[in-house]
Amino acid sequence: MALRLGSRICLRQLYNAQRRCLSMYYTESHEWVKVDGDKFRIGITDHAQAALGDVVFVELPELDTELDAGEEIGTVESVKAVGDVGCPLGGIVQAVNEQLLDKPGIVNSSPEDEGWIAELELTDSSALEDLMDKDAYEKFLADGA
Amino acid sequence: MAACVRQGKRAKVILSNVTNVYKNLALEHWILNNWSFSKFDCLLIYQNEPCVVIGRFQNTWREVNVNRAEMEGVSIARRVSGGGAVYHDLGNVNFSFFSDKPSHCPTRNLHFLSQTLNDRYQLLTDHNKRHDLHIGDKKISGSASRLIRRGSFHHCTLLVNSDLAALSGLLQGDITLKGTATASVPSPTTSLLAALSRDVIARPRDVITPHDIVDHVTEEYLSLYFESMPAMVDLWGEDCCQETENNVIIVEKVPDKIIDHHHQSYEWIFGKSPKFSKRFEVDDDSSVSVTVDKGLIKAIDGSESNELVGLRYDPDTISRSLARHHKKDVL
Repeated sequence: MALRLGSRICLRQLYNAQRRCLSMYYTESHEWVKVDGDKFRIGITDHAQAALGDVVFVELPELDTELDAGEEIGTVESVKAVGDVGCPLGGIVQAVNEQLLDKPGIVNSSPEDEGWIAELELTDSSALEDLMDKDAYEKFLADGA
Repeated sequence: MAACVRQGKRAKVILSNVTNVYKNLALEHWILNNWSFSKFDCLLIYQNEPCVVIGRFQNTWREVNVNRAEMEGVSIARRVSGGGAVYHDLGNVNFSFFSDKPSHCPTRNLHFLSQTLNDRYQLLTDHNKRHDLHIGDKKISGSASRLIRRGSFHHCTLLVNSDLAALSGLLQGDITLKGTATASVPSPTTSLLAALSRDVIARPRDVITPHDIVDHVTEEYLSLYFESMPAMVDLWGEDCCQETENNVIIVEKVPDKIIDHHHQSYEWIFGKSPKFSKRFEVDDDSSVSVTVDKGLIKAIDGSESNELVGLRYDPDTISRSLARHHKKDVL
């Protein structure tokens, strides 16, 4: 029994390690996360920016802020509404995209690339297994997310 | 567009008899954060004593005549939704429509309000793409929304018989401030009663009061739904609220546990103004740039070693200090 439990834990660690080397993952609240070893970047998805409309202000987190998975990392104001941005994984803020302070519209024009919001040092990757890869996220959207 | 009839869904109406803007905003925020709207929608209606309410990422000093507000005892508040600065007094009514995110639809809410007013009072109100209610080319209502993980609200003002002179005087801030804050979009504004007196509506009516509007909107809103949510017994205690026969909650006092004192703080009301700078003229041919962040002076002409650095931004204090130092330098 102990051996089987140990194997399961090993497999989970292996699975998460593999996921950390792969690319983009998505949350049900339409954030994306790009993991690169012990760092990750986050932003909002193309679906989110389209739903929000023209972004007019992005509140970025302070450097060195420590966050648990699911905690609010920033806020975005569009012409339609103010919405939260959640942090998909546990981490410590290392960099923020200061371009967004003067040009918040980059979130609309390039939400999953130049419109990144923050970069963090990964401290807790356990939520990774609950995130969707690109195919799963597209199916999630097609199903009426 | 026809209003959606929410067959099978319930609704809850809350009428606040409290007129303190900080307490009403706290109540609104608490409802958003603590209730789940998967099974019911909610409408909160409240009025405030004279105050100015700015949007989440606005610059307080840019949007509000802060000195005049202080002199006249007009409160300044910052809400959690976006949009521009608005003036509230007891001639204005605020409607806050809560729902889950899929049901969030300001257009539907405004269509409902517009139709309700038009049917009752033979008015010609309408709504536009900016989510304003208007009569003719004048705005009588502004809207904003807040979305969180499990819920949302869309709220709007309705100028019934507000003091329009006070409104325009208080919403004139310092437009020389430079920064990235969300700016208000000025629009010609009127109130329902002012529009009536100018005969721009189909048929003038005598009885358009906030009280009558609140009663009628409540009744019409509940008629859209399957039924009202049952009584929420002991929700906040008998000394705070009562429920009427049709399960409308009347709030006489906002419970202490709901009031968020942080939202009455300098750090929230002024300090959440995004970073900005202002140029102060020292004499005919020199000026000084003051940078402000979190409501505190961060630098004077790029230097952080000035005695003003770290103090709260107050343009009058800064002008006097700069003039004093300039005089010393000249001497």
